[in-house]
Amino acid sequence: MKNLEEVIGLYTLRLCAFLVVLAIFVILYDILVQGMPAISWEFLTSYPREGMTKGGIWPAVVGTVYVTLITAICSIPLGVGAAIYLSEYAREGWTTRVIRSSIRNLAGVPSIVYGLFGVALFVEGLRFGTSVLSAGLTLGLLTLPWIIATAEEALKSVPQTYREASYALGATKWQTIRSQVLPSAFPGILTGTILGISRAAGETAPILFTGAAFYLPHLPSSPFDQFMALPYHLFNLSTQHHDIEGVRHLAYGTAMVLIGLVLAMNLVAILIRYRLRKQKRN
Amino acid sequence: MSPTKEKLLSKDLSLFYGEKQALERIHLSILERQVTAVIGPSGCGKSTFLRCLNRLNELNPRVRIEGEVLLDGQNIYSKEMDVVQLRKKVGMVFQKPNPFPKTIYENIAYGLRINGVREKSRILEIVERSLIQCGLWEEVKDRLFSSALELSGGQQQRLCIARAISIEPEVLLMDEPCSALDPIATYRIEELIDSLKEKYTIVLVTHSMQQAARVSDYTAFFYLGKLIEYGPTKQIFTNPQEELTESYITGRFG
Repeated sequence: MKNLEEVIGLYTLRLCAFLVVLAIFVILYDILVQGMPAISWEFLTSYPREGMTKGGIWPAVVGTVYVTLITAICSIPLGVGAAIYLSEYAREGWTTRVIRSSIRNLAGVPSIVYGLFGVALFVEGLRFGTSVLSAGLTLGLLTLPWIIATAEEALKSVPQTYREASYALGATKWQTIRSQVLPSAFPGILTGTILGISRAAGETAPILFTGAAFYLPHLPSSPFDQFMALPYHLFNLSTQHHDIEGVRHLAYGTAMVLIGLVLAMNLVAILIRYRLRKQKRN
Repeated sequence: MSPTKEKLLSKDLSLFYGEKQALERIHLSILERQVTAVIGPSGCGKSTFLRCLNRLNELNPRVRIEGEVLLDGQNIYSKEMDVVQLRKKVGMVFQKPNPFPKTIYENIAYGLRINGVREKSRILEIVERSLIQCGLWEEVKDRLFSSALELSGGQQQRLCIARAISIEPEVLLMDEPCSALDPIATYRIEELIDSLKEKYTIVLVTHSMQQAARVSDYTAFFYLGKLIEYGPTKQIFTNPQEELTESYITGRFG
């Protein structure tokens, strides 16, 4: 009887794992098969033409890279700074608990809410208009809780013995953090950050009202310009276009480029972590 | 043994972890350029006591300390005492070797840099001198710039000692420095302690009574957070005054 339970348990869990992997592979397979024919050098480097029924996605690629850079520039220093404060300086107490649970709750706020908040704060409030800057800042807010949580985790996993060794030599707190704690936590912080940023790169809702444009005949020339972005372009091609069936192959191509971009960023994160870990072990 | 100057004095020192009292009114005088061993069974507070001498216990916010510790007559727990300056005078070697995950050179250079030594040539000179003092120079001189984590446990611990003495502290606290090492590595560290006491006041926490007997001049026996007995090592081991001390050193409990 006991044995049967074990077997049923094992196979149920196996099935769960299998279904998850299956879902990923079906999605990737479908996009790969249908998107591959659309991919060409021209597709990647030219503007959409003839009402988006022909041409490529160049401005959307550039726009996504641009907005992701702004996201990274504003959320990484802020997030890592907050994580250092929480992990190294904040005393456990009422305030710290409130800060921590706020961050956890922020991570659960739907991205459309961030989008609308971005409109109120950056577009209207600070008068940045619908722009790369507004969208980048909005995505930055969305990414912050994730960056803070993973960076704090990485800092907490630095062995206490490194800190003690440093203090025992007469190091100040900041010297210890800068010279010992941060370098040790760096691979963890970096991977967490890249994963967070790559997630932001694929978001649509937060940029919908804050800066992404349906179509632009030029690239953004300043942070205050509007921009095209891959996720929004994909959304338009598959739901807003007058000939959805006719541009299906372009939508698949866009999806593939977007996934490729995100996977490439994740791969970079994995490679960096792997190399730094190996270095440290030697 | 000729009488020497008192370097450290713990005056009615008590320590609490939250509600739990870990040290009870420790009164102990540590003499300059002598090796003072602190022995006692696990959990007796000997490591906790050691960490009071460089205020490392403060890293734990739940720790509360009463009483005084005087270094050359100055209370290290007074408001005027700068804890960073204190730790430059009172160095420490830990139970588990804890080199930074950096090069051998960088392990020692870090301490020098934060203590204001900037010149490259000067740093290299002190790195070499410290490693020679710890008998590690011959073994590592060709790989100063490879990772300290490639060294054996015993070598790592000698590197940690070199790191601690490179900034020329006055007191060296050693928290069971050999507990993670094999007998040969232990022997080398003990030799090293013997040579270091010419310059430094050493407080050595150890769980090994043989080690205390071998290397120390004075021995303090702790039990359940109290200092039971303190005196010249020879006397403690041959003619202990307290029954508890006698039963511990004869191995009736431990």
